[in-house]
Amino acid sequence: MLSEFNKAIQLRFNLLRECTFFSFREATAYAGNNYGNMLSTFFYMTTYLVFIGAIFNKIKTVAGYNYGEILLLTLVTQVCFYIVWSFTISNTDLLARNVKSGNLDLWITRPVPLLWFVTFQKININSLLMDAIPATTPLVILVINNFKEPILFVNLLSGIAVMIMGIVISHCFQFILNLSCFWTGENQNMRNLAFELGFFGDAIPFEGYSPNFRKIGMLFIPSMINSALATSVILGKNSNPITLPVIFVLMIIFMWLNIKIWNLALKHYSSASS
Amino acid sequence: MENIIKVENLTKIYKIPKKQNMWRSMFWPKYEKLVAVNNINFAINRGESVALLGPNGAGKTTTLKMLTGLMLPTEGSIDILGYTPFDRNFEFLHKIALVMGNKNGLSWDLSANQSFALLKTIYELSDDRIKHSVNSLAEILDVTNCLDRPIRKLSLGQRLKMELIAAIIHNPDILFLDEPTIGLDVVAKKNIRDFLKKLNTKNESTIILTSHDMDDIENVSDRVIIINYGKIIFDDSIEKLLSNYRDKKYITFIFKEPVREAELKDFGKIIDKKTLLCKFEIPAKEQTKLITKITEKFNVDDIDITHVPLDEIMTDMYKSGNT
Repeated sequence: MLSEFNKAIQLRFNLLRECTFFSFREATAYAGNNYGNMLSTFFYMTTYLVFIGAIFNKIKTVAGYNYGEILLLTLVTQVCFYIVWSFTISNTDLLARNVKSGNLDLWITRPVPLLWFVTFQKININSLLMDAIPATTPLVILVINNFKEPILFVNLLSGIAVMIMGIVISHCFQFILNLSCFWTGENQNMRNLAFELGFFGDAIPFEGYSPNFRKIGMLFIPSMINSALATSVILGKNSNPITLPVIFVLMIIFMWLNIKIWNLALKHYSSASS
Repeated sequence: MENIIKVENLTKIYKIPKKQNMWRSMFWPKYEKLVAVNNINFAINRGESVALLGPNGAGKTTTLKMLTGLMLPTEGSIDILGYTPFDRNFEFLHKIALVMGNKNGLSWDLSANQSFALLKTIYELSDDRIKHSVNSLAEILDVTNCLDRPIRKLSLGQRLKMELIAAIIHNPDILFLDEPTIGLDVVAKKNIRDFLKKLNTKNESTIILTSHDMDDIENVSDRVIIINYGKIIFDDSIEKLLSNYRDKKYITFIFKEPVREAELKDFGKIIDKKTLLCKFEIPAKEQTKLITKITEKFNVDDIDITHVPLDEIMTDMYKSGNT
């Protein structure tokens, strides 16, 4: 029993490693294309930082966040965005394409843990290296130079935990909406909706939402957890002891839904005609 | 002989949305049932090579998809090597392979060898085994020099051969093929057919094939299951199928000089006529008489006698619902 479990874990680890290499090789097959994206993300980030700087030249705080705190929120937001972009978006797009074309057939008939495989089939490590690092480097420098308040170690750990759980929730949220492709075939608009909801208001501090909206918004706006709430916890603005357990339970519910709806989708899979 | 595939009362019913106005179809959709596979039964022995045939929409691909676990049957049961396909048991999946002529499992941007590395992990193959497997298959299929070229740079035939290697890299017991030679030229088709036949006879792999190309069927399969309107209308050997049409022959005469059609029409039913060629369809018992008459009257260079081609038999069966 234990050896079976170990074998299953080993297989998943090996697949993860091989998919990472595989995706990296695929991404570097068109090396020239990557520089375009690197420049576009770099210019986007620079423009955004200039915009924040301009705002804080006129005012002192936004929703109780000073310039340094807003920069930290932006950094957390960007880290979450690139992780979700590299793992979730790449894979949901690929899954939708494979369902539509019927190429998923060729994976269903192979001995792979299918949900694990379609979750990690495309790990866009190249995007993390080429897009995220150059674009966020100026931001990191600005945070170091402008963030003056001390951060408690326990808050930092709690905030990172919220961020990680929030990323898992965000992944499940996007993945579940993307599973509509098993019923509709084409679901580009649904994926657009999932993307917009996934990153909706990711520049808004948690305290910028009304107290009531904070409670319900977390159920359908994942960025409220992985970016806004995580930053709030890191900064010590949210010291409610129930936060971590609630987010943990929410994560488990989303993971459970992810598995259930995935199994339902597979039963509904009719595969594109030959 | 050991039955390795047992199909009992297999039925697949699709729910198809009924045409209604936009609001009704959005809020009160109605569905109608489409019976794609209707209560079919068959068994396949180890080492058999079986063709699933039928016109478009007959239910053969749906049957193949249920056999490979891609789709859940509405009713009935499938037992393959003791497993239920839809359960996706890993031991079962290690023993089967699926090749679809119009679908790509290999990465477009990478070489076949790079894609095979992922399969090595999936099938938990050792370095030596995968190397041996790939090299021997590539040699048989004559694509050794293409293994390190990106898939997008290969011809359609070479790509399909790579897909075939990817599918059987783990030496499966059962190979499911859906239109494996679609879009290929005659040389590539022949290569693939020869390879499949060799795989079937030498390795005793069981092959289940669907194709609209009757040459695939004649060259690869020993047994034919014909499905029409979701039901099996014929299940026997190719010889038996041909013997049902044994009383009819096609005789082709090649003349040394041009012959007009008007001069030939009284000899029998002409089904093809070119300047130096004429093809007759006649009852088998009259073939000697016709040959004698034609050779007496005209200067004949060559004669070819064939049975009714399989695709015409199929057309006839699909039309008449013959059993």
